[in-house]
Amino acid sequence: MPVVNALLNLFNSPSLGALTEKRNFGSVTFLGRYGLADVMLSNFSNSGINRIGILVDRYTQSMRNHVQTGKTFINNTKIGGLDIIYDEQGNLKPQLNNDISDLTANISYMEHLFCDYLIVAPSNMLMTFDFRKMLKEHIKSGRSITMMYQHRSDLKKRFLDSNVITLNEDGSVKTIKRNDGEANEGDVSLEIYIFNNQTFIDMVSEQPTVSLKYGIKEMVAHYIKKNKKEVGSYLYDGYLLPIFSLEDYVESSFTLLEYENSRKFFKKNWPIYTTTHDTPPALYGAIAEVKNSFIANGAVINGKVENSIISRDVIVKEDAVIKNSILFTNTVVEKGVKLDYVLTDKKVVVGGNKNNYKGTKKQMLVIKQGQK
Amino acid sequence: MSEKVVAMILAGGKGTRLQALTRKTAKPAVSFASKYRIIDFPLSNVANSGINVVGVLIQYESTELDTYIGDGVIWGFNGVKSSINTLSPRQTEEGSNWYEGTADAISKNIDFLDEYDPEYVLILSGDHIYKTRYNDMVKLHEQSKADATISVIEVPMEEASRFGIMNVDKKDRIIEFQEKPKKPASNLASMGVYIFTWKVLRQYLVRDMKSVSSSHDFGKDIIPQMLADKKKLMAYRFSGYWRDVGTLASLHEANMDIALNMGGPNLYDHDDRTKIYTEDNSSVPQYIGPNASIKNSIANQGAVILGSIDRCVISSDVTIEEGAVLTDTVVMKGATIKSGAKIHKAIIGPDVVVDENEEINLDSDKVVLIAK
Repeated sequence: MPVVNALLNLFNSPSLGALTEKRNFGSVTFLGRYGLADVMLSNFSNSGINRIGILVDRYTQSMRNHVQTGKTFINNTKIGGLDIIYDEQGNLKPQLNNDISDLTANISYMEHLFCDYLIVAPSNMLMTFDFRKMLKEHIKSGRSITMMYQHRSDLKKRFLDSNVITLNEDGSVKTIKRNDGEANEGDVSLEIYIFNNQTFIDMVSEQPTVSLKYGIKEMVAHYIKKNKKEVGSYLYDGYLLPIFSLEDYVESSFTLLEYENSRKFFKKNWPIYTTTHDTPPALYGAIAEVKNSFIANGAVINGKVENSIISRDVIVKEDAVIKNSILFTNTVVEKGVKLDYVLTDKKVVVGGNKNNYKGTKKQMLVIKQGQK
Repeated sequence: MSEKVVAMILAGGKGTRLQALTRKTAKPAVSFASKYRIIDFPLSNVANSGINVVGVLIQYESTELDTYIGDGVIWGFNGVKSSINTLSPRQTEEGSNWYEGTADAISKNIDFLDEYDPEYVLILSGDHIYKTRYNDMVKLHEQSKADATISVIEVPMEEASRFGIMNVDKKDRIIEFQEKPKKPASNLASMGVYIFTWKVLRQYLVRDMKSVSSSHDFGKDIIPQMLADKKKLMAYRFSGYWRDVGTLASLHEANMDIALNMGGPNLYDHDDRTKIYTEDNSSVPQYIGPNASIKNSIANQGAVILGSIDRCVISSDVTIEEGAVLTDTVVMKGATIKSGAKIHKAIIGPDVVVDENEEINLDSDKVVLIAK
């Protein structure tokens, strides 16, 4: 049985405006109870991967706080583990701070991986996927790198920094170039790869001779140009929620409120793990009215909630009306306050001087962390 | 190694009065208030009191309870100075040794207690619902230089004959103990929570083991004997919510106390000093459907509620289909209530499926149990 390790790559994570102002993309609350990184980390875990590294570019503390010791995602904590890989000096030279420079700075971590294959994936591709399927294809192909792609018809709007590819008849990648946004249709790289570990190590050590600015994505493109037909492709045609912006984040969250979609995303025997907080069950008061919503534990609901996502320990007081909104942990909505298309970050208290808060479907009204 | 206080939790009983709920599960492991098990309450209380060493006496259907307790990480007993130990009957030189009474269970683990050589032993029941820290009780025991301190609660005089009643002097020293007295002289009921000075208790246990007429019970044998010997027994007056959930009716009622968040142990006070800890599951977010109605209820993550719920306790991975109407009902983990079913005042056991349009207990005010 080959040894497979995985890296969650948080470099190149998109900005979600105020939500990522003071925290890492991976630790942004999702559906009221997860962090965005939990989805891919759980894919690793459910695929039997026991050693995971997280490449973190910023706000390490918020990631560390979210994953804690990692035992949530690791099967055997002695032979496995979860490591946070961070290059402190990297932030002093932002233009050269990338996933590869992070690994170079932590080269002893790389040297002790002792694995046969390495999976690298970002946290903004929300999907539930068994990597063993892709690994099987990768091993069968005999190639040193396999790249996951999907056929999309939204390339004018999303994946604007991603690479579009064309394929040879044998399934290897023929051409790769940055999506210029000219065409909507195309095969786009999801920045999810399986490497033969030695190939990956060689690539990391080769990077300074090619360009210090190059990260994994650029080095793979470089490799494709240099080694004809050496990079294989794997088509992922399953359910995918790609997140490149706050708008995508909001849309993906609300999409999953539709039962049909959530059934495609949450699969049987494929749990999404997250760190626990010992919160009591959600409590619904005598005049609670809740429709089409996700409600997390610890929430105390006494008002009206519709088409919304309510996170841990949120309090909705009497006669408050919440529609089409996302409320993060510890939000308090005071009596009689009305919210429509509002996103509150953690520890926000809504109410007091104003009773009506309204955003639009296109542009949610975002209330920053801790505002009262 | 010497510990000041070691807690011993009696969790070996079958709980016959809970009928089918305890057919394959020990009473302390029975589900409670959506996400907890009964034993989470005493175990969390012990953890919150800063007591590091716990013995849990198990016998009936011990495997599930033993597995659940594990290394105690749920309650934080996996730290460097703490330990939790499940103590089941063992085969010894004298043959096999089933526990034959509450005191007998402790007697058969004298060697365990000697190992820790505690000053005091706190004896608790594994099936009581209450939130407390035992620190004040330990303090009273210590300051009064008592041989034993018994936690008592005031009950209505007309119900006093259902309890073990303590008669005390002006300084709350116990002068008489009456087990279920016809004419109670006080309304101070024993909660089955004791602190003993270990040296003293040890002598009484050794003596009790040799007695052929003894039923080896704290209430029936040890306490009366200590009183007869003029030992110093103090009453500690507990105030607050406390319930023995030994019957279907009391289990149902205690669940309702939490669902209505009135009078019950307040799980929503955000007081980290008396938090109740429990296992977590990786269920999907709790979803309330577009035509659902939910009030006066609690529900855990993983619940999918599409029907109508009033005064209910809904555990994880429960599905309430559209058109189902539930009132005054406790639904345990994994149960499915099909569309159009109508249920009143029931306890629905784990993994039960209630068929479409089935009607249960609609005209009755007596709690009914539906279990596999």
